[in-house]
Amino acid sequence: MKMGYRKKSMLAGYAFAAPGMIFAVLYMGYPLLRSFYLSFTNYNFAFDSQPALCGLENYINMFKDSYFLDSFRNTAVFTLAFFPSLMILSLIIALLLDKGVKGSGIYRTCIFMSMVVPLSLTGIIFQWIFNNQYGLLNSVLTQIFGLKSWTHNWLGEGKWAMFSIIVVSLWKNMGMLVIFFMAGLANIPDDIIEAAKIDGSNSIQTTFRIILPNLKESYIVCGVWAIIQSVKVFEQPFVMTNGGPGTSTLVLYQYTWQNAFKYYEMGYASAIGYFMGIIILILSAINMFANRDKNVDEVKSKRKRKGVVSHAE
Amino acid sequence: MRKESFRKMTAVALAGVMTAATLAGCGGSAKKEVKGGSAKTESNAKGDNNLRVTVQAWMMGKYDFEGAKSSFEKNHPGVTVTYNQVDNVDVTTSMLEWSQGKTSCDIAIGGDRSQTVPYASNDYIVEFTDDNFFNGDFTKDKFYDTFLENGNIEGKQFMIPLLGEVVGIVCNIPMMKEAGLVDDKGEIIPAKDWNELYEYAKKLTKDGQTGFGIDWGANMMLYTYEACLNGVAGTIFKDDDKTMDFTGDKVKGLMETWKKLVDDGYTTTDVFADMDANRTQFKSGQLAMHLAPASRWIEAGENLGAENVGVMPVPGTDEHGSLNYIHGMVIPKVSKNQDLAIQFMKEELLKDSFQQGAINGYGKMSPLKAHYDNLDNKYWPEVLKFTENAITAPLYKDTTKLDTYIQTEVQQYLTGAESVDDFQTRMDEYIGKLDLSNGMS
Repeated sequence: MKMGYRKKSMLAGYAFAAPGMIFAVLYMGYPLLRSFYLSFTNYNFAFDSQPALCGLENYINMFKDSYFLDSFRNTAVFTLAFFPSLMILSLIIALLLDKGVKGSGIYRTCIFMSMVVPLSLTGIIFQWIFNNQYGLLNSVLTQIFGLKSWTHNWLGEGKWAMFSIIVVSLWKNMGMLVIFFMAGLANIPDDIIEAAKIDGSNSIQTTFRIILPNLKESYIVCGVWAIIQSVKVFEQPFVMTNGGPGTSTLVLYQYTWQNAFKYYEMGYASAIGYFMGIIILILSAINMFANRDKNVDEVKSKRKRKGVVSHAE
Repeated sequence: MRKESFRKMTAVALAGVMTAATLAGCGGSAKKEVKGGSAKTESNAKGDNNLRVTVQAWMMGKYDFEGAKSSFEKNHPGVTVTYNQVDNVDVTTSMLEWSQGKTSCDIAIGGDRSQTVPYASNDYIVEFTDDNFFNGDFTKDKFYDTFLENGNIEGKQFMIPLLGEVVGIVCNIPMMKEAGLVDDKGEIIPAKDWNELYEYAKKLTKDGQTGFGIDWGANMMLYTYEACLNGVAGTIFKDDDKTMDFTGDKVKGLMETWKKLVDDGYTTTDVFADMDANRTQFKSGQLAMHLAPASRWIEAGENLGAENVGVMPVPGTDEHGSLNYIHGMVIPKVSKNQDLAIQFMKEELLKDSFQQGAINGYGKMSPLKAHYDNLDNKYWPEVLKFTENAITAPLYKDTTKLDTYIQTEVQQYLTGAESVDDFQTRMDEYIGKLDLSNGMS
């Protein structure tokens, strides 16, 4: 029997998707399932011939492990500082670049150039810049601005080490989010903005009442991306401070790496990895929920609760 | 219609080729776990005459590997030597390969026995015996015992040292002279103890010059602690002769001196972030004394002038011995070129001319005693003295965890985040939880 057009079209689609799907299943699906299984086992890759099931022991032991708790705390601190800073700064820069100020081409190049530098190289360069003895930053502060009191051991003192890592991460990641936001800004129809101007809206009102609310899809995309970058931070603390001094910049990703590739404890590392995955999922879900499209009834009931009277009603 | 059929067929064919390529790339022959017990020592007759050597990239710059390759190929027509440069010792990759009966190398160079134990416990590497290696000009007595010990596990030699390092204090002689710390002959007056060393650091610190740098970086923390502790206490162990000691007055005294050096500004903590910070500062003439692998003394001569750099023992190590470590060579049992590999090691990698270049240029110590007969630098006898008595790092299954813990706790202590009592208590707790067996069983 001759195949219908629709069925043929479906088969063609599957045929094209097949290589990618096989790749995804083999290189992503299988490792996911395997590491999920390993997270319930004790397995030292170097010394054990087979994994041994241990139930939830790895997940329970995590919360008794001071190094895990330190890395969890540090990741939370990093996320809380990095995520909002990244979103706000990137949005501001995108708005400024979108306005087309003089020299925006050069500013755009400067912002985007940070994206092409590999993360590990970024870490090495900034390690030199932040060096206490001969670093560029301390030299500039002392010799050019005469601000010796502002100099610090940027990578050798706990709080300043985390601050330095946040600054470097912002420098590195801003470019990507600026691109996303600029794409979102480009999608806002000019008619709405013109209409607002005709109605007498000034630039601040236009920005806050028209432009920002229309960037909802961008917030979702940028938010998810920024959350992943926050929770998965690794190269900067690894290269710049190796998690030190002490454990002040030890993050979850590095601790997972240490357990997997330094101690060969694959079971425990898998458990920490899955814990990180759950955190990312929860935060992404919160981000999507906060930026969801609210329908009219939901908005009305919210206003009623707040006691706002609508003329339209 | 014809065009459309052609397009569909092309699309299906393309999808099929891509699928097949993906599957071919992912798959392999049926995997058989090859336990070393069943793997026989292959004779060279079955090899393919392509000797593959995995080398850490930094070694290529310090040793004449290309010269060794040319020489070996000339002396063994038909044999090709191929180098594969790697960044670091990669136990995971080697374990994966060798467990599947495959290998990308016939000799793997780098690391010491702590990285070798996983291979040895799974019977993946060749044991070097009197029959296959320690004969002729390479009997065990021709080697420094301390270097050989670093490749020995439970009495079996699984690793042959290519080079050795020993911990000492490298000194900038003009700075020491200016501070009155050299004798009439212009030689450094070694500090007898840590109090004296503190005074040295105090005299040597001034604007633009740091008195003393101690290698507390990620690569050296454990070695530094072991060398210093052995110097002050004559041992690094508790009474059971197995558990590393972090308690007791000697440890407390050592740690408090370190803290005082940091607090008073005579030592920096830049190595916490950049493990090469002290090395860079010393070579650029901004650091007077550097507690580090003694080879830095020869290396710095290139920048500062050989006559301006000297070495002295870490206090107490001239009597008790310092700490040494190696970068060694292993041969995987699945290699089909084992005999050829051993020949290459003996004929090229351990020959005088190959080792001399690195000794004289970079201070990398040869494991063979004969290579020290005609050395120029006057500090070699001093270095050899605290090498001969040097101890080796204990072999624990959980050495990597101990390495991380000690880095963390020393950094916490030296930055003021915890007291010395906390440091001692926590380290003692940590080591109590670790597996101190050697990992072979």
